[in-house]
Amino acid sequence: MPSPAPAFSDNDLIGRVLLSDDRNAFAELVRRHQSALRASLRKMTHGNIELSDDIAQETFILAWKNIRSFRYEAKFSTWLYRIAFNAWQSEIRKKHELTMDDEQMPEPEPQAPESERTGVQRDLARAMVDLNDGERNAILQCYYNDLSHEEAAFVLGIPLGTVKTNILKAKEKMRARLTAYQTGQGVAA
Amino acid sequence: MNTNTHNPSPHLSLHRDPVDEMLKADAAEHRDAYIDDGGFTLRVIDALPPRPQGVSLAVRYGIPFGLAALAAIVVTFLTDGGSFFIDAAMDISTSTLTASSFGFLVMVGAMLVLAATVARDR
Repeated sequence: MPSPAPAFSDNDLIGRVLLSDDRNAFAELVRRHQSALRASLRKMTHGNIELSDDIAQETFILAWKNIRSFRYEAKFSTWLYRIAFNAWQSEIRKKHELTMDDEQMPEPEPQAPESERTGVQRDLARAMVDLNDGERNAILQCYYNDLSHEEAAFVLGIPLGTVKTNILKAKEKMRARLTAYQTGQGVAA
Repeated sequence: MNTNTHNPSPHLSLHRDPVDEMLKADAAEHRDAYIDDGGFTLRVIDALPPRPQGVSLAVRYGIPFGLAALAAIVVTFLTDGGSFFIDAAMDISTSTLTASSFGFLVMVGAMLVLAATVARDR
């Protein structure tokens, strides 16, 4: 479990990394943020644990290499989400290029077992199928990563207005889907 | 979701948004589910490369400062004990743009840019 009262703030630990390449301080940062980051990536990768952990590891390595560019303007966790999102995007591009080269269909993403999901979670997951990438990413960052619209815009590298529009559109689509399920007119996902 | 930003005045909301509530409940459960480290941190630390060392401050700022000082010394010798600086100061004080005053202003400008860079980096 995460330690209840950290003796050092994230910024203290970053300072130690910058000052003396302190790997123990960086390890503490990894320990603190690994759960949230891995959970976020699992959501992004539709529950692909192996892939999400690989991207999480790559994210922390990139953070280590580029920690001098961290300007304390955002929280460390938000900065990590930004690196992770970019790593995930390049993974998608890589996958897409491979698919184009091999002319193969992409493998379906593994999903969390149905038995582990409640009815609401199942409905939400099905309702999110209709969302485009921008809408889905905005929902993931703002709800599941608990970021403000401004922070989500920073993570996703898009204008604030686009985040707000994507959230509104996403919720509208999901509302329509969920209403359809309730009235028994749902389309099989 | 970060309610501080998204719902600045939730009490003013006249009707509930079920989608919003469902998302918030699901997201809260998602965040509460702690993923055990299980050796992840150790794997990350083992995979860390040596961090690229930035150029040390002494080198980064010493070279331009040293070059500026060297240039000043050279100019002093070449202009009979610093007459360049005296000429430039006289020309600037009379608002006359000559080669000396122009060169002097360029030198001062370069030093100011360097000082500003140092201040920003610190």
